[in-house]
Amino acid sequence: MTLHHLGLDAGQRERADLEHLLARAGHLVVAAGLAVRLAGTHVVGTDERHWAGALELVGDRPDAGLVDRLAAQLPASVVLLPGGADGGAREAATQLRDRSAGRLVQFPGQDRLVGTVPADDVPRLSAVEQVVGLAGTATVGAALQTRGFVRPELSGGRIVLLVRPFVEDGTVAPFETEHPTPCCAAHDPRPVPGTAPVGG
Amino acid sequence: MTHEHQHDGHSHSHPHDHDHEHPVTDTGAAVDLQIPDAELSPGELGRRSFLRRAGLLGVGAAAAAGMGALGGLGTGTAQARRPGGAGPGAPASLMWLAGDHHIHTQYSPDAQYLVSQQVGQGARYGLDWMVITDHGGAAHQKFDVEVTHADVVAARAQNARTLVFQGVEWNIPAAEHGTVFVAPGDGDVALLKEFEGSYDGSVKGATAPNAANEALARDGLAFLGTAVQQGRVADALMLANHPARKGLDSPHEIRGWRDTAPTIAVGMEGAPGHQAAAIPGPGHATNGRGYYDSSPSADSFAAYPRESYLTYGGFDWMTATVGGLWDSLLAEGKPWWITANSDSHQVYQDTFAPGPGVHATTGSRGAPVDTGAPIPSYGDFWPGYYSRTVVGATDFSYGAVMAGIRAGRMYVVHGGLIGGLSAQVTGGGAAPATLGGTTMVNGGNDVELQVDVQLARRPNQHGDVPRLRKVDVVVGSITGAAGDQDSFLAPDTTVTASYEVPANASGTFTIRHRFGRRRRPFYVRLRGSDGNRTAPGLLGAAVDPAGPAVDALGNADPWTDLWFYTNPIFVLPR
Repeated sequence: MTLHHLGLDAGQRERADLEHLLARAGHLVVAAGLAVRLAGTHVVGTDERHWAGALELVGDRPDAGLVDRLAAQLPASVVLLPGGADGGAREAATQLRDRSAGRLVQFPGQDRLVGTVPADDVPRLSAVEQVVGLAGTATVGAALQTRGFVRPELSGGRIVLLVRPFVEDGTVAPFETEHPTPCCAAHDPRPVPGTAPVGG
Repeated sequence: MTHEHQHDGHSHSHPHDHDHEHPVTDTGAAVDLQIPDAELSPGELGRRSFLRRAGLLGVGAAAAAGMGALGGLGTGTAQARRPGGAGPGAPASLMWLAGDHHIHTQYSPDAQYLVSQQVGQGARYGLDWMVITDHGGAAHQKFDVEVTHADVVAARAQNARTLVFQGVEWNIPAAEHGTVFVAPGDGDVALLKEFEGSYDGSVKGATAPNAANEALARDGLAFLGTAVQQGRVADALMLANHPARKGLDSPHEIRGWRDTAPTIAVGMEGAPGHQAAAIPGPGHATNGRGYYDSSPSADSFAAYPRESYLTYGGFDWMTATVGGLWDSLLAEGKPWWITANSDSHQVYQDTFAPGPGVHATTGSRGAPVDTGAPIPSYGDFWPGYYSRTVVGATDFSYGAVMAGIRAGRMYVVHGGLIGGLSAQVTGGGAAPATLGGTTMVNGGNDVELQVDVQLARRPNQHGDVPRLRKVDVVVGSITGAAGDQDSFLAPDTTVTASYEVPANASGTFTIRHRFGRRRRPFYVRLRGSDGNRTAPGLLGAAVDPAGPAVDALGNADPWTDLWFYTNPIFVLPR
């Protein structure tokens, strides 16, 4: 199995925008006859930090034409390791290849991490290599309530799933929640079901 | 080495004589800000200047000068909560005023109450001072500063025993939110409006964490400092709110605010508001306590560990980690204080829903609407209901509260865990120092921390009489300015003693803790717990054997996990 690492950078500040871009890139890559194994979101840049994406592909090495087509159609800066100019796309692809930083929105076994799963079984069911409890959270024997949203992280050369305590003792949840409480200013308020009209 | 004394029902306050007749020979004179510079010997003046440059002095001095004009505001309602005694700075002379510097109203796009409702509730739940802090932003800056002022003035009239400040929750450029508030006076509205228009991160489109936006934040703080110097307002303060929630406040930004405007930017929330957010129930399943349920974004400081996005016993990671970020700031020997507030937007189980106003175009959501049914999805408490910042003030006035905050004479408490606290470091041939203070001691071994905790006697708002189980003494070396502005570790800070409160204790719990002979500068701070939920600290059991435990998502009952924290006292062997 030969793996290739593609980086994509459209200078996005919102992670949701990047995830949309990654989905489109994935379709284009599959149409070209390659398979996407991992899709990652990565923070890149120094003074102007932003999000960039990376794909780990399985199959024959893509030709330069694919890189050019992606760059034109997405549009984004696109690199295929080991080539490519320095920049966010290369930084993202390198993070994914080295498992040094970033988080995964697509990975093998993702469809098995639904509902409640024994935390001990996660490495057997998926590409996640280790479940790590934050702040002393015990994971051995714990029940992982996935809530349908699992985003492993890349750290220290491994794919890890960070978990935190959740609701009942012995139950853990992924560190990342799908709908974190939004920041307050300049956003619509949280909807309140069954109450009077909600303003601006 | 721990020891403990516990005495029932009688006070242990010890008035101390500040003998101002011998400042030239009293080596504690350099740190006694009651003594003017002109009365110091050249040697003492030099020492004081050194301490000022190091940031170890001067916070109280700035407060003591120029606050006189404010003394009259709100007077006539003073109620000393400590017996009278020595001069300002000594615990016996202070009144301890409970407050909250983070309260929202209908003038925030995500909140709902009238100013009068929030102030009335805060007063009902025992607050002496409050700050109204609606979110900064274009609509707020355009519509709300004047109308808030009118509401605040009316609330002052209706609540004569309560000090009501006007402020704003500043979108700190490149960073999180922070409370900015000013002393009442002729220039307050114009100053707040100009500040928000010129320096709010939302108004200016300056939220990205780049160098230019970070500079704008520092410029905003410098602007406030200049405004006070020029007399546009009598006083102004900034405190960073929910600092670790989204990883946006990097260590170098916090140090930058502090060092740019040390009399303005004086601290941060040690515990965020929204303490009801993870009470189990509808709409709370994936809430973190304090709404700490985020993960890193492109704007987050990359070196913060994932643990920083969680809370511990309801407290922010920066404060809850012994040897962590807060301690790394204190280890520099510079002031940086903690507070605890409600961040009240929508109160857990309250029946009111937002009014029909459109905030973006009017600046207001209008008066809230009573639905007649409790709303369990809300995540906040009323001001004073759960979180309190208790300030040692020299009198009951706006100026004295602000001076007390600037001086760090504060402790914070959740859920009425304790009824009161006084702490001072005595001995060493020097004048005693209380919370936020500095004492310069001789080489003797009689330096002692004296703590008197008034145990809770009355039920809190949950109907429980909380029981204090232990008091931890946290000590760290003062090692000078950080070489790395992004450091968030203080390797030398640990819990050095833990005092268990006997099960049958009542009245006042007293600690007399000897430090022994120490040659190097250090600070000491206190932390207490109901003992219900403890775990080894994030930096290991050797640093903090029984610290606050990480809070569970969707299941963090704030009433069964109560803590208090004090600000530090600095001790400088000479």
